[in-house]
Amino acid sequence: MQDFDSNKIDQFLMGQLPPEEHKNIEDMIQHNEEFARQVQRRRESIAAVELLGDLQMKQRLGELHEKGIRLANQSRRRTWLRPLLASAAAVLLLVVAGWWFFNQPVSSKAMMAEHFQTYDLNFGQRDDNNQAALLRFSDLYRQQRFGEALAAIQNLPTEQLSSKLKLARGIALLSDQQPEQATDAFSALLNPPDPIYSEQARWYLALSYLAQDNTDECKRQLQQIIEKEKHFQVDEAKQLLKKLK
Amino acid sequence: MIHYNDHTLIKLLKSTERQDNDKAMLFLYQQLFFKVERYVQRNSGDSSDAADVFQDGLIVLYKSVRQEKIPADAKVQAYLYSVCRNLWLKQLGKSKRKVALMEEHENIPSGPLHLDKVLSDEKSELVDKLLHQLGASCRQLLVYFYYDRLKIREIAKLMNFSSEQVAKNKKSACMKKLRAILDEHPELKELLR
Repeated sequence: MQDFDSNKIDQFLMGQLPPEEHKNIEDMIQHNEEFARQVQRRRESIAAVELLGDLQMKQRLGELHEKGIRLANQSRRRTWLRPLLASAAAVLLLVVAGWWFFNQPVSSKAMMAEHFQTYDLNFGQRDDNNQAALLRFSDLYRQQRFGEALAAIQNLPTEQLSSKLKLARGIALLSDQQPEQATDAFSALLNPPDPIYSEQARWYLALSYLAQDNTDECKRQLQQIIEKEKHFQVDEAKQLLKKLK
Repeated sequence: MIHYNDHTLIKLLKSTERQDNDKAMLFLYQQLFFKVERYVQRNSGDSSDAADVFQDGLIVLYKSVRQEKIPADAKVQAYLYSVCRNLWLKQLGKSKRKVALMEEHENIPSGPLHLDKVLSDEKSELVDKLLHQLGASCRQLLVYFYYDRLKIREIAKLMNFSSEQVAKNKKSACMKKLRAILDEHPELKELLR
């Protein structure tokens, strides 16, 4: 019996030969019965080893199986927990942020903004002799373009303005972030007290102090409003005073 | 647990260190087992079927990597899932269970399509017989060479042979012993065809 190179046969059966050599072996199998028989015997042996290997792998995987399932379970739990934890974290964050937000001391300016509203004033031609400037002021005031409104009357002597215009000017100054000048404007209507607009002047004066963070003076003005029970802003003044205490 | 990319997974499966192979397989368990289980359960199987299919899938993957049959750019997890799915479909076909397959609308790359259960009961018995007669050392050497595709040099090192030549001679002797066992048991040869 002729012995062929078993290493070559192994390489052929394991697909490790270059294509040309592989083809040569296939040709030999076709033309040499004895060689074909030897290749077949080798093939059977290798197939048996493959089974041995499969069995060994099965045993190895049997040992790994429990650990594998445990890891898969942990991973699944984590995957399941992840959105839940994320939701819980988001809710907690909202609660903390909400608590923080509502417990923040409200700034004086914020309170002023909350309680400030411009006062509706009707301007008539009788109000002053400087009609063109005053008409322009009244138009811009109604449009809440306070900076431009103030510019329209900047050349007019303040003392010549009617009480109504003095009040409107003070409100425009307060709206235009000029609270110090606004304080002067409202104070002028209270000293001596203007027979028509002193109530309004005191309310806006309180707000102009608030805009300057002068809460003590603001409270003093509010207290005076509250004492005057019929004041048009008595309820608003009570609310604001409560917040300031 | 560390996340392994495809390149690392293949490297770990090719490693001569058993610990490395185990790391890759445990990672694949963690990532994929329940997905395979869900597929099997939706298609008339149970958890134990899923465990069998998954282990067979891992064996197919391991062999494909060792024999360099898996494409270099293969997505290992997708490949394994596809193998497991095909194994289960084949098994269902054989058992002729009437099932409406719950096909998933996923873009799953195809793995090997013609797959059989890795070890049938019959074949396991044959293997048992071989195991007893061949001896532990021969069994290990032959598995290293023909199954794990290790080089003679690597086998000599792993099995503490004094030289590569000693390993070659031992391999030759073990193959003769195996051949003799197969010749003694013609019924076993039938199972190998």
